[in-house]
Amino acid sequence: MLFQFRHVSKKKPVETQKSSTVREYILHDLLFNINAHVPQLILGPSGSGKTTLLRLCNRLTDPDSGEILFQGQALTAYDVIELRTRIGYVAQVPVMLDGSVLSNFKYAIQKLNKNLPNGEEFEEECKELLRFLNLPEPFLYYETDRLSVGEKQRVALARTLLRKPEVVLLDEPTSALDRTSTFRFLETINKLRDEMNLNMIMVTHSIDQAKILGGNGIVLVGGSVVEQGPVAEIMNNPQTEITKQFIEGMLDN
Amino acid sequence: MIIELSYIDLFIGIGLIVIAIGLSIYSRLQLEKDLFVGAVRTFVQLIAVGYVLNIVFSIEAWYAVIAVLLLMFGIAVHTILGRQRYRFKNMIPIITVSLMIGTGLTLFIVVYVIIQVEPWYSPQYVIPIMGMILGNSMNGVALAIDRLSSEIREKREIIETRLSLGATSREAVSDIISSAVRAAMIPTINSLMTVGIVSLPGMMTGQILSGTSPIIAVKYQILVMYMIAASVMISSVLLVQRGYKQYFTAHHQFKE
Repeated sequence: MLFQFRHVSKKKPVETQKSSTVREYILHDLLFNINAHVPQLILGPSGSGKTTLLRLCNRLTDPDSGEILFQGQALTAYDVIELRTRIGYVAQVPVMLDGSVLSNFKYAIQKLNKNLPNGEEFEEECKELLRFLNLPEPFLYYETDRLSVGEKQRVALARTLLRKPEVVLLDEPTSALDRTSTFRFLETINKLRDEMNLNMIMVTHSIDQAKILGGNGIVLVGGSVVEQGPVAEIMNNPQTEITKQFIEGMLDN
Repeated sequence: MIIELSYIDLFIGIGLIVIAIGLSIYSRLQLEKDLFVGAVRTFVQLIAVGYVLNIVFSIEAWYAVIAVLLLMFGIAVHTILGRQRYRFKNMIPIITVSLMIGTGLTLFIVVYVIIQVEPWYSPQYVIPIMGMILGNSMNGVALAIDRLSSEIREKREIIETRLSLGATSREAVSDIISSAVRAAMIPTINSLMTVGIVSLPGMMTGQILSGTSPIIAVKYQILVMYMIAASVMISSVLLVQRGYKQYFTAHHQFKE
């Protein structure tokens, strides 16, 4: 078992009209497991807590109640820095650090505390990864502010992959891509899963993507899990009315 | 030697402000009111301070000196707080402790190691020196906190990206920490560079006006410049080292 969510709840402060803040549930009583070696999709409309759920997995934030286990052990029992080495996170809006693509890559590995490859070897490794993600090799030396959002998303993914994580958390990684690029990106993701044996937890709201990627899914609505199981089953035979509506809404897009 | 100013002399001096106010009205700058209030405040505040110091100097008691220092300190902390756009937890104790160590250590070295004042509370030395150290450190610390808070807020996504890439919270904000200390130090460094060439510092001018030989005044001024640099640096470094931690938990995540 990769992750186990045990009655996990998370509140967030919400400004009310009387300029006081109350804390409302953003995630409520989550109870599910995420298996290793099967892609896990987090589905649901925007504002349903999908991003928060991902951020809980690498402890960018912590739950208010309940417990999350990673490989059978409480997340809080791991050293946070080690945890974030083993669990990579690619945010929805790719954030580039100042400088070139190469300096972004260097930042990613300098914290790894192991024998770093020498300059040339490392650059070769980076170029190989760029090719793998359908980016031209010279990109390595580009300043990141020259890149399009789609390119940044792939560089952000590469930056995380260089750290050789066991799990990658992907938050809507195709949100800035057109249809063709999205399709190629998903192929890459599938290739990653097969060739690098990478565990993947991905947030998406697209039914096409869900079909291409397959695996298991949970449907999150209003901070609660309304349905879970193999993606194909959820799509073909939704058990709840709300999931049905959600899938129909996805079809409209 | 010293030509003493009478209140009549000061009254004539008001003519200078009248010129400024007149120009403001003529050029429709709408600065008249501020100029007037400012001029009145300057007069009242300085006369009051003059009399208070006069009393403290005549009492020559350690507790009177300590009381003045504490009052100055309280006003400095209050002023810093008033200039902040953002607040973080424990802001007041962090400002107070940073300023206290920065100014206290510098004051100690200047007054007791270098000048070797007798008695230790000698108001003629302790109060004006603390005033200069504290005034400059106050400005530096105010700039440092403002820069620290605003950049941590603005760069939240970059910081979280670094955290996700395995940086500790200290590593994730290291550029912001240095930028905050630099912001605090730039005015001081600029004055270290240009003092005597572009500007004659107020303290030195004052000493010369009151009859001290320029050589003595200059030596004091050199010491003043160095002590300001040290105090601003110590205060702002201590401040940002404590300050950034208020934004993070022990697990290298943003507090909510």
